[in-house]
Amino acid sequence: MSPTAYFFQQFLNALSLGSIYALVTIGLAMVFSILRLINFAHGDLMMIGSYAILMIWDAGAPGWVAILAGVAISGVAGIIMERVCYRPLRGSAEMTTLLTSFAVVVLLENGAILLFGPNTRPFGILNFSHPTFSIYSTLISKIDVVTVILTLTILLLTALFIKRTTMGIAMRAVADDLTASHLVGIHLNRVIVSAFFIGSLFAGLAGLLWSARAGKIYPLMGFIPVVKAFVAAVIGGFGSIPGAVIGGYVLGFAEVFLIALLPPDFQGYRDAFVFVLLIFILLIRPQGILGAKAMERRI
Amino acid sequence: MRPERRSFYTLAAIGLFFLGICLLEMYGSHYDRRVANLMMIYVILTVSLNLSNGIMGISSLGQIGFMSIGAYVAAVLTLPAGLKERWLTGLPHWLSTIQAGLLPAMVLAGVLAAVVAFLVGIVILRLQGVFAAVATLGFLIIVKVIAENWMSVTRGGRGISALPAYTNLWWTGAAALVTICVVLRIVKSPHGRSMLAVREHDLAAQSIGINAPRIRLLAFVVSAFFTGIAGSLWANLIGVVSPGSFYLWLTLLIIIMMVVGGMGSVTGSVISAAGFTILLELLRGFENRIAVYGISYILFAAVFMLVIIFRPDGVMGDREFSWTLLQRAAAFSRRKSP
Amino acid sequence: MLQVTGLEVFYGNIQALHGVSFRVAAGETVTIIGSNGAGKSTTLMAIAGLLKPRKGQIKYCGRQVEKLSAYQTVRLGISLCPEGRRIFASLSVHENLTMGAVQRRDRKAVRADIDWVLSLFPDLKSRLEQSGGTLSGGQQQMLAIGRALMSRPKLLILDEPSLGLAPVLVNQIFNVIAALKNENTTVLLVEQNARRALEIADRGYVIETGRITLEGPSAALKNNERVKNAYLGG
Repeated sequence: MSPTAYFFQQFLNALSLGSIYALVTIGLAMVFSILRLINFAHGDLMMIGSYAILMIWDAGAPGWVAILAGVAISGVAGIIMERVCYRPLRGSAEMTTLLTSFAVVVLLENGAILLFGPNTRPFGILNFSHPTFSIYSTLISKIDVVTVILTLTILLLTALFIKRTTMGIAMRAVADDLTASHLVGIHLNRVIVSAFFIGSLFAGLAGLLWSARAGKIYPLMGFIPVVKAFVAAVIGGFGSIPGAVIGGYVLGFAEVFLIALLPPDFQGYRDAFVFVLLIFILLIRPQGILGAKAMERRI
Repeated sequence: MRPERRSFYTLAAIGLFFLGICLLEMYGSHYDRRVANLMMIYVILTVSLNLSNGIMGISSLGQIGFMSIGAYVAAVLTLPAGLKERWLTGLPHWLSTIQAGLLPAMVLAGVLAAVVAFLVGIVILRLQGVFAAVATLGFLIIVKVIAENWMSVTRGGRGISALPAYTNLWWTGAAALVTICVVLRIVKSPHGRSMLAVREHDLAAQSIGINAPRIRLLAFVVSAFFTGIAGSLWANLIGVVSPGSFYLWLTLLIIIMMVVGGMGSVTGSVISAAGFTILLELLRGFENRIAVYGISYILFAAVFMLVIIFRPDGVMGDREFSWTLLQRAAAFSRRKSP
Repeated sequence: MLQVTGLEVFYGNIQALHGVSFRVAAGETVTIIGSNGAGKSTTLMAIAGLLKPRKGQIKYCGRQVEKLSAYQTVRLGISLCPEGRRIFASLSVHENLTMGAVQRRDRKAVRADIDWVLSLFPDLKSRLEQSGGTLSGGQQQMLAIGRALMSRPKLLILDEPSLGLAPVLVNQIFNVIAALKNENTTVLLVEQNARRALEIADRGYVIETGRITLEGPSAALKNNERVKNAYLGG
C-alpha cells in the first residue's frame, strides 16, 4: 500500500473513531452543563443499546427495526436512570452524584452480566457482507463511512436544535444561570429529562457504531469509552457542546495516530497515554483547549 | 472519666483484640481465618481511604491503584526465586534470585505506594472536585494498563500466582491496629484540624496560614502507604495478583464502606468495613449455593444509593467512638429502662 | 391581587422572615424599602416560588401559591426581575427575551412583545444578536426587565432595578416603571433608593430584620420622621 493510501485509510479511521467519541461526549457534556453531574453510567447506555439491538435482531426483526428500537430503548433507559438515580439527589454535592453514578455503573454492568452472562458476543448487525471497498487502492470499510456520514448529519441537527429551538435555548439558559432559568419559568425537569433523553439516544447510537466496529459486545464495554469521552470533554472544555464535538475528534485522531506511530510492543499502553494526556491537559489548561468559562462554578 | 481510666480501657480492648486473634489462629477454621484476614484488610483500606477522601476531602477514585502497586511489589518480592526466573524475565538478577519475607515486602509495598502517591499527588492534587476524581480514575486505569502490559515484570493479564501464604491474622490485625492508631493520631493532631479546615474552606484555611497543598499531599501519601500495605497483605493472603483484581469493583466497595460508615469517622469506617465483609461473605455463600453470581455487587450498589439518598452522613457522620460516649450511652439506656 | 400573611422563611436554622404581611391591589405600584439583609429579596423569592416558606400564606388572585414552584408562579402571571440582573450571559439579547416568554405558545404575540420591549428600551435594538454578557450594566438591567416583561406578567416584581447604575440610567429605568404603571401593570418594587421608590409608588412598606415595621401611602411615609432619618438621608 502506498503511504498516501495508508495515510488516507488512517485518516478515515480516525474520523470514524472521533465521530463515536463525539456522540458519546455530547451527552455527557449536555448533562454536565445543566446538572454539574459527571455521569459515569453514560457509557452503560451504549451497552444497553447494543444489547437491545442484538436481542431484537436475534428475535428475527429486520436490521433497521432493531436499530431504531434499540436506540430508543437506550434513550428511555437514560430517562429512567435520571428519574431513579439522580433526581432524588438533586442539589447534593457534585462528589455525591459522581459517586452515585459510579455505583450505577457497577449496578448496570453486573446486572448485564447476570442477564447476558459475562462473555463476549459477536455483533453482526451493520457488518455488511463485503465490509470493505477500495478507491484508488485505498481499502475503506463501510462501517467507517456510515459512521462518519451518520454522525455529521446528527451533529448538524444537534447544532440546529441547540441554536434554534426553544428547548435548545432553554438548555443553554439553564447551563448559564440556574436561578434565572427558574425565574423566567423554565420547567427544569423537562430540560433535564430532554438532555438525558437526547444524550442517551446518542449513546445508544454510539454503542451501535462502536459495537459494529468491534464486531462484538460484552457487559463492561461501556466503561472505557465513557472515560475516554471525559478526556474528550476535558479537551473541549467541559460542558461546552461544540467543545465536546471537537474534543471527540481530537481524541480520535490522537489515538489512531498514536497507534500508527507507537512500536508494536507499546501499543497495549495506548490507553495509558490517553489518560496521561488527560491529566496533562487538566493541569495546563483546566478550562480545556477551547473553553473559557466551563470551569466557573455554578452559584 | 479520668484519663488513666480511659487508657486502661483502651489497652484492655487491644488486649482482647489480640486474644481474639490468638483464639482464631489456634481454633478457627481456614475459612474463619480467611474472612477475618479480609476483614482486617478492608478495615485498613477503608480507614486509609477515609483519611484522604473523608477527613481530607480529596475526591480520589484512584486509591485502589495504590493497593495494586503494593500487591505487585509484594508479589515480585515474595515469589519463589525459581518461578521468578521463569516468569518475570525483566527483573534484575539480584531481585530474581531472592525471596523476601512478608515484613520487608509490606514495608517496601507501603513505601513504594507512598512514593508514587507523592509524585502523582504533586500533579493531581492541584485539581479540584470532579476534575480530581476523573484524573485519579485516569491514574487507576494507567496502573491497570501497565499491569496488563508490562509482561516481563507483572506477567500481564495472567497475573502472578503461587505466592506464599505468609499473611496471617497477627500481621493483618497488627497492621489494621497501626493504621487506625496512626490515622486517629493524625485526626487529633494540629494536622488533623488543618485538614478539616482545608476541607471546609480551602481559601479561608490558606488565609490563616495553613499550607493547604502540603496538608493534602500528606493525607494522600499516608493514605497510599497503608493502602499499599493492605495490597501486600492481600497478595500473600489470596496467593494471586492480577490486573483485574484491583479495579472498579474494589474501588466502589471501599467507597461504599467509607460512605456508609460516615465520611470523616474512623470508627464508622471500622464498623462498616467489618459489617460489609461479613455481609459479602454471606452473599458469596448464597451465590455459590444458587450458582448465580454478581448479586452482591448489585445489592451493594443499591444499598449505597439508598444510603446516599436517605442518610448521606452514614452511620456515624464524622463522630468518633470514645469511652466517654459509651458511658453516656449506657447511662442513657439505664435511665430509659427502669 | 397579592396578599402575604405571616410569612416565615428559614435558611437552615436561621430565620430570615418573622411573619411578614402585606398586600398589593391590582393596578397598584407598591414598594418595600429596607436596608441590606432586612429580608426584602427573601420575601420576593418566596413569592416567586424559589424559596418555600415554613409558615404563612401567599395568596395571589384568590389562590394559595406558597407551595408552587417558580415555573408555576410564572404561569400564573408572576414575574420576578431578580437582583443583580442575572441575564443569560452566553445567550444573545434576542434569545434572552425568548426565554422570558418560554411558557408562551402564541408565537406571533411573542414577536410583537419583543418589539414592544425594544420600544421601551431602544438601546437594545441594535444589539439583538450580541450575547448578554457583552452588554454594559445598564443595558443588562434593561434586558433583565425586558425579559421579565416577556411573560406578560400580571404582577411584575422588581428587585433593586437601579442598583449600581449611573443616575442617567436610573432615570431611564424609573421612566419605564412609570410607563408600565400608566399601562396599569401591577408592580411590586424593592429599592435601596427609597426616595425614588416612594416617588413612584402608591403605597409603601418598611421592612426591618424580617418584620414589616411601617406601612402607609407613599406620601405619608416620605414625611415620616423615622423613614426620613433611616432611608432618605435625614
